[in-house]
Amino acid sequence: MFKSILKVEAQSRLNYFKVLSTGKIILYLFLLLFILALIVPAVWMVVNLFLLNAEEVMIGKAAVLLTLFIIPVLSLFLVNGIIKEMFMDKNIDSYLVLPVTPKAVFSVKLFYQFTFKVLPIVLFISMAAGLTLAARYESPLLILSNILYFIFIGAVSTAFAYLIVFIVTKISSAKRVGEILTLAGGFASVLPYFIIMAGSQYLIGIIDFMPDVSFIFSGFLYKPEIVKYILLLIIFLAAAAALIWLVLNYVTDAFVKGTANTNRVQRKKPASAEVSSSISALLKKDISMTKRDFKEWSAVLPQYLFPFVFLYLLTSNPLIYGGEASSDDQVMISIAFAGSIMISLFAAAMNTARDARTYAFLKTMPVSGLDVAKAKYLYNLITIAPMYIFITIIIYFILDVPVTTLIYAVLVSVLLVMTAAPLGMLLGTMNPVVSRKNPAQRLDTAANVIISVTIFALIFLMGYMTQFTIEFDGEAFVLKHDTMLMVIGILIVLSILSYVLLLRKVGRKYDKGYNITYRD
Amino acid sequence: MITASNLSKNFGGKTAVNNINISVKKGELFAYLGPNGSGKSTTIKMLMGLIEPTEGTVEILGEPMNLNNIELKRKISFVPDTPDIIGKLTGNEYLNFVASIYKMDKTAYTEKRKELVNMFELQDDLGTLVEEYSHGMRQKLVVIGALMHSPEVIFLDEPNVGLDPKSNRELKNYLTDYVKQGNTVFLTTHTLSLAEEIADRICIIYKGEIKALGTLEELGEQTGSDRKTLEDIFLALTSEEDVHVQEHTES
Repeated sequence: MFKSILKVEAQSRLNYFKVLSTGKIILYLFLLLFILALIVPAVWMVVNLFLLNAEEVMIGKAAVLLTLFIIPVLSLFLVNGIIKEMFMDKNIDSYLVLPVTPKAVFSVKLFYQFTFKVLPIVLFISMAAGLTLAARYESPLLILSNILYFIFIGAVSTAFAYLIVFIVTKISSAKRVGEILTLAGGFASVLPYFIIMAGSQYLIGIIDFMPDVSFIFSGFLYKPEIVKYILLLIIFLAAAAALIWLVLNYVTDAFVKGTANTNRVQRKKPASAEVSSSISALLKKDISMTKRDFKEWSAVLPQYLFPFVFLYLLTSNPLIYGGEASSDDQVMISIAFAGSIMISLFAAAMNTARDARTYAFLKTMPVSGLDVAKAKYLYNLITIAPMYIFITIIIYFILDVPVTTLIYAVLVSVLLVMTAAPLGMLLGTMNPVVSRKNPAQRLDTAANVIISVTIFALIFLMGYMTQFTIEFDGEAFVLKHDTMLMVIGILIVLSILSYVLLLRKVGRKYDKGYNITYRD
Repeated sequence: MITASNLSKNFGGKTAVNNINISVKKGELFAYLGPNGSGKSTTIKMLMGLIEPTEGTVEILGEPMNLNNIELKRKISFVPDTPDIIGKLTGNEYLNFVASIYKMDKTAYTEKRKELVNMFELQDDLGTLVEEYSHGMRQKLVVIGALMHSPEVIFLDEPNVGLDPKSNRELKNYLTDYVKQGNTVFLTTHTLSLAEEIADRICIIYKGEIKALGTLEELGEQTGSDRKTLEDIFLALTSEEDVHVQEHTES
């Protein structure tokens, strides 16, 4: 039974790769290359350098840190797969109606989760640690003990992941949990790299802060002592097997008895009849959709990091920053210009292109295109402007600028959001793409190119113009208030023109209809 | 109420609907039947203005159908064949959204909503996200959304797919009463017994062309006296062999 299901699952996974599109193959290869070229060498190097040179007491402390780090990261990484395979995959039901034991079905699922998601990671870390320690203590036995210890950690992470899944699916629906954890898993997968790169200078301090458990690890993971080594080898092997056995039994029992929550979750807010204006109803719809769709967050959130990239570029490059004609005020205003244009154009286009999914539904409703456009415009202002003001305030605390510069930056940002959002919305109606498998991919190539070119042209222009906003007052560079007020005046006029002309055009596009590409 | 004149639709080189002429009167329940891929959904989408006809015109309530005619759209409703509604809204939010867009009066909305939600027994699920609904529950929600503003004309594209027997019966009774009040229903379905039971007139379409149109008795006469049930008539008109025999006899 176990073998037959194992074979079918293997075939199904193989078929998945066989029918992958070229784009996805390239993406996967790129990711693999990224991991192999950057993450793997970085982790290997850090582990290697540390274990070769560290004092013995620090090796035990490092093992504690590694354990505490691996369990949450690996658990988060696993959780999404568990949700998909155990709660949202109809295959489980199909298997369970066959003459096979539920345990056989869940054993196969657990086997694949452990073999393909846990083992590669724990084997890599254990080999990095084991080989280094084996060389340092001239004992190949340490390779085996390290592998076994990290497999045990893998089993703990698996159990922990199932615990998270069973707890959170009691609170929310599996689909929603899946979406939230996709986002969390995404962060978890890049976390190790950032920690290694950003936190390596503090690593020794953090390791030193860990409890000294050399009474467990010494003799087993390093400096081997044969009796302790054999004893702990048996204990960790038995503990890993027991944990997996417990997880398997618990999962089988939970699904068979129906205690695993695969049902719908009722929202707490009572159902009540409410009527509002068309624009307000459309706005509420968009806000609810965004609030609840974590895939939407992952599509738009990265854009909000760009102001910090600009900040880094502007303050770290001596060719740009630190010269005679630059100051923090100029940096602040430049970021306000560049960031708000970029975010507004992109986010407004994405938010508008999202309507392609429900375009036919909207068209059957008695609502004008202009009302749809106005609601979308308001939605863009409500979601983009406060986010950008928040970013501006963070940058204000990083840079040493007066409050007046912050006020100017906020005003410029809000006015630019109001000016650029209708343009982004218009670009979002240019042949949007509907992809059920990848809902974040909703702008077609032409719109993406136009957005990129527009962004660069506008940023270049604005960047050039910001140099006229500062002057040397004999002691330092200060903002020219008259110029700034003029800029704000121009932006007010532009935002009104954009609202009147471009928003009407978007409304007409909704009325007239636009081409939609359905990918899958 | 609904007039389609010389309605045709070509997709690329393929004709999906060819020269359809239909006139549905006020207070009539009109069933539009046909096998899969015969052009039913294409016709209903052209009637709703969701697809532009290659040729022909559509008039609803005496006005040319145009998706930008907001006042006209306020008087009609559409239940699509796949209830793909906004999944991230709860049932409650979806109904509030529809009521707001149709500018319903709050009292009327509250009463009508209560009646329909109770009828389809959806009251306990309104707080749940639509994406977590079963197909049948989505169908119920879309039907409630389409009926609650009391449209003069309603288009239903296979509305009973996924509905439980009780809801099916309730919908059937509701539609029968609804047309008695002077409203018009344009219905497509594969459940021939439903059409046989409640439709005033039936139109059978095959490969994009109308094969028969009239009351059940008139359809029986058109296909030969030995055809008794709608199923017999439908199969006679839409199976290749019978169509050839009939065309040969007619010629």
